[in-house]
Amino acid sequence: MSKAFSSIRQRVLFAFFLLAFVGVVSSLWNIYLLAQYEQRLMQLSGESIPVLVAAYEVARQGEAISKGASGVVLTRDRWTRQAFVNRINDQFNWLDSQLATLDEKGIEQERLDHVRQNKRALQASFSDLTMAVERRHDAVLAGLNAEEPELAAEVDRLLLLHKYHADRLTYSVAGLAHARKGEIEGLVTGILKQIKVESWLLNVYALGAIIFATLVAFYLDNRVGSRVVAIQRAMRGVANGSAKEEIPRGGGDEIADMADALGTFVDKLGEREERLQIMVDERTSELGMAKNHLEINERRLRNLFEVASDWFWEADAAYAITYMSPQFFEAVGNPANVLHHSLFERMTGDDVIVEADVLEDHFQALRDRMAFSRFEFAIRMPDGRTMHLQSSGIPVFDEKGRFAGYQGALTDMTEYKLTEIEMRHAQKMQALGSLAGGVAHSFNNIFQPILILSELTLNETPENSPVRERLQITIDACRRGKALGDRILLYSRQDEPEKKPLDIHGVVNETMALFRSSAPSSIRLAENLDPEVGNVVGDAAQLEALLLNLASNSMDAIGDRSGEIQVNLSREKRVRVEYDMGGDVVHDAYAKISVSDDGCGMSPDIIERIFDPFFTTKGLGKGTGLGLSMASGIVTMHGGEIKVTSVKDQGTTFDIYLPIAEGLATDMESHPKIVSEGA
Amino acid sequence: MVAVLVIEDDAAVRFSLLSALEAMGYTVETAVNGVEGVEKCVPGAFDLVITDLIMPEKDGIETILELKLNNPDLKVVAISGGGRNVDIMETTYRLGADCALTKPFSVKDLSDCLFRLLSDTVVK
Repeated sequence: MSKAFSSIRQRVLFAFFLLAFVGVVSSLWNIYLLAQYEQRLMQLSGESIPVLVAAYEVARQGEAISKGASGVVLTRDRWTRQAFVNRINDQFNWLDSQLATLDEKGIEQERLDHVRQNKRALQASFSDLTMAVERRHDAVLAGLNAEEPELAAEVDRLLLLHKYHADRLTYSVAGLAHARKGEIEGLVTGILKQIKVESWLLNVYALGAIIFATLVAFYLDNRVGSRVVAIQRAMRGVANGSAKEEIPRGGGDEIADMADALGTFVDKLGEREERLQIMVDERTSELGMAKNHLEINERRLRNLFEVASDWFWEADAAYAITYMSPQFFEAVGNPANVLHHSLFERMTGDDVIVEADVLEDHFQALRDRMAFSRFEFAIRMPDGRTMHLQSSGIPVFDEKGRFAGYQGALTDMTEYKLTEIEMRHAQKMQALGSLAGGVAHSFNNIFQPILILSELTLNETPENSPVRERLQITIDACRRGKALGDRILLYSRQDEPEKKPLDIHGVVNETMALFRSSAPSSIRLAENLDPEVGNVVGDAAQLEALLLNLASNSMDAIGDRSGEIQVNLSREKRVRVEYDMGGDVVHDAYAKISVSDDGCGMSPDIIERIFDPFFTTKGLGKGTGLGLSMASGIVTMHGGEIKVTSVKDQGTTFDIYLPIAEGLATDMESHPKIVSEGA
Repeated sequence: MVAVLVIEDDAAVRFSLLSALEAMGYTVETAVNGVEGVEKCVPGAFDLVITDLIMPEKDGIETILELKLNNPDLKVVAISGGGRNVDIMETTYRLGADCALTKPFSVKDLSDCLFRLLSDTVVK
């Protein structure tokens, strides 16, 4: 279907236009045909009816003439007879005028000629008859036999002839009239037939119109009604909340357009609903996540508070400490010393170590009621340890703006400080290590010629010469120098110690035996060694040197007095929390070696420096200042830790932790390869 | 007579080694660095070379490699003050030194080392 007829309205209008067109054309054709018949009828009535009237008059006159002739024959009176003859002649004249009238019409000329011929014959016969009658009358008058047979017979014969001609005239006129009648009948029959056809056509047209209208109705129902109903159903579905209704589409007409529009509308509605649903889902999920997040945060905050290393404190308007986190007292002890003491008083206590200008700045901030942060100080703990602290605080004001005190947090910086010290120490050690290496190398080159030349000279010196002793002292000094060089080199060594699985109990036991043999009797050596501690991986010679060094230090700390050195070996689990792994608690097994003495002990400022190389408290020539720094190096290289606890005049304890190699400790026999490799 | 070449940059050490070796009865020549040592040590000239490891110009390791390349039968004793890198001694053995001594060593250390190396030669 062309695009022009894509719409139903156009199609229906076109169909009705066609119907009307056919109707109008057929009625116009009818009107035209009827006009034609009317014209013919008018023509006929103008032609035939006067002809018929004239024919009738002719026939009637012919009859009258025929009868008049009998009167002429029968009348004996000449005058009367003459009246008859005159009348008949008038009738002939009338007949002539009628014929002239017919002649004027110009129709049925042949029949008209025939009528005229018959009329002339009739007129001639009448004239013959009249003359015969006159002759008979004359005869009568002449007196002859009135009833002259010959004359009478002539009259009779002529009368009969006359009647015969009259009949012929009548017949010919009748023929003419009949011909006219046939034509009229044919015309009327034609009109009637045409009317019948018209009527039939009208019926057919009406029927066609009814069928056409029905078809249009069906078409409309099919094309419009059913689809409108479907769309209506779909729309009702949409109205009832379903966004998934199928709108019947297609067809390319107005309904299709409407369906398309509605379909698009429904699709859009569906999309919008879907989007809305997605948004609602998103918001729901966001809310859920937010709630979840909140819970996580809450839990996290709770956890953080529980594990917080910071302590929180409060002070009132008079700067008196009114609150301190309970964990602080767990860590420090002695709450009486803190609570209800003013901040000023507390900070000037004997156990507080703080730089004077830093403290003055801090006090100034407090007096000015200013916020302060990272105020650093240290506290000497009752057990001799030093705790480094960092304090921050903000002033608090009540609703009227009056100073109400302070709130703040206290951070334990000890570990940080220690780490800082360790790092500084490690850097110092590294620098000194390479320096010591270079120095040792140079010293060894210097000792070399002294040693060899002294030996050579000694060999060449006579047995009793006093020079020998001098040379021997030189040689011994060289050997001591070499020993010192070796120790410095050991200290400065940057390579790893030998790594063998060692039974740590055996190492400690043997070293102590060695030490016992050289220790003076004034010193009591107490041992408590657990033989089941297990194995550590390391260098036996280095560990031996380490223990001898510590024991030797203890001996020096006790000095000439009598005292006791206690050596313990135990297995210890140390707990460490691995935050990276989600707060897993890890237990590591360590071999703990403790060397304690009840000697002179150390003050905190000395403790801070004991692991520094070349730091010594011993007199000149008594110590190198390398022992503990070496010890520290050895422990570190074994992956362990060394700790010192010392109280002045009470004694010192060194705790060494060395990681236990579990697999090797319990299963030595099944690992001969490793053992032999180390051996 | 057994001929020994001493390569040592430190004059005092060089002199002390010369004295000790001559006292032991060896024929001794000296060189102040690796370059001179390699020049002097033509094939067959010496039975044994004592060389320091840390020297200017050409260090001991390089010297040992060249000496051994030219004289496969030559005995080499490496001596070092140590200190900078203890692995040098180990490396030296791997490179072909037959004995290594850490300074300061005694006359006895030296004579033991030489005796061991040279008696091997005699046995061969």
